Amino acid sequence: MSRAAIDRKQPAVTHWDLALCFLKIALVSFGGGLSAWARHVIVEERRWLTDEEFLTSLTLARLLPGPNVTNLAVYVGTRFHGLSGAAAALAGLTLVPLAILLSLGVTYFHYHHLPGFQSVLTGVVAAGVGLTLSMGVKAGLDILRQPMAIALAAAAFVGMAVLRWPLWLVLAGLAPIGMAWYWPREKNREEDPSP
Amino acid sequence: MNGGVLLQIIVTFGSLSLLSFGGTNTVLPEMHRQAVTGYHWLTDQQFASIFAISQAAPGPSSLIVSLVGLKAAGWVGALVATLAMFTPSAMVTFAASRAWERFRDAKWRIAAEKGLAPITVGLLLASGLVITRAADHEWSAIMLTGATTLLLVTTRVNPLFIMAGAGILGGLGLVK
Repeated sequence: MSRAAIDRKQPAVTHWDLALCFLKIALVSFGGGLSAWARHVIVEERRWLTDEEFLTSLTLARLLPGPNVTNLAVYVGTRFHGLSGAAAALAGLTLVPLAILLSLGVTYFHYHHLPGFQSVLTGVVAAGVGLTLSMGVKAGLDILRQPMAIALAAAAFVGMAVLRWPLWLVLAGLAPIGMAWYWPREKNREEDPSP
Repeated sequence: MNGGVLLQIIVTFGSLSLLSFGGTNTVLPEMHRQAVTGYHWLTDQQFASIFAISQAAPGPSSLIVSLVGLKAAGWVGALVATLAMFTPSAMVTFAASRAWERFRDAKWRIAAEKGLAPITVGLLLASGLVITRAADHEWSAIMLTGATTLLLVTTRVNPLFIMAGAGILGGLGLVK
């Protein structure tokens, strides 16, 4: 199993790369599953972030107000190029999809019912759900390697899907436990040799 | 077009932007209340349809606000609604990202990175289950979701091909 975690050097990423990356994520994500696509492109294809870094920034993105993937774009853009990087990533993510959606909307408001539109949509959405699930499974195979990690994931799953608690409550309960468990001890602190 | 509507759009979506903790789906009920029941910018049926369109279309589904703005005040309305929805939350995230990067080597950040990852895996699987319940009403759709998940986990096939195939199956009336 080869994973992005091997290369820990910060990759060289330009503003243009940022915009194109998020444009790609946006364009392939019809039918939903935007965060799954973001993981596929950022972690597997470009290797800008490791799985762990990606998941943490996704949680950060979900905790803050605003659309999740928009926040993720702002985070990744800021990480590489500050405010202008955030703007580039955000522009890549939204401009072309905005144009597409507006033309779809105008078509809809004019013609209302496109024949077959709804049935094609049903198929695409069902596959989109599978994409989201596969992201959870893939990331899980990578991350859940110790009993504590499995217990944390299971508790989060039960809190959200079974008990239907709000996100903040699940995190307020589990994040302190997870952080305390993984608090770095002095001896296994590895420093990145790059400046 | 009058400035009053534009002001209403800015206030409505600007505040929804800052309230949308956990993503736009959490403020959809409030958006519906204001746009349909409050301001009568569009009908119930239209709101449901543009929701489906914005879910399926590429890009963030929160771009739905551009269609609400379009219906409320034309092209300028679409532009203003989009800016009002995306700018405030993006500024907050920018500030938070800067702080997060500044503490790159702090112990609490390393602990957060390791400790939050498994929790996020659980949350992802949970949203997968919740949207399966919401989106798949028939066995054929559930099976398609299951098959997609299996294919994507076990092979390296580009998800785009699977989506296209699923669209064709849907178009043929095989997915209900």
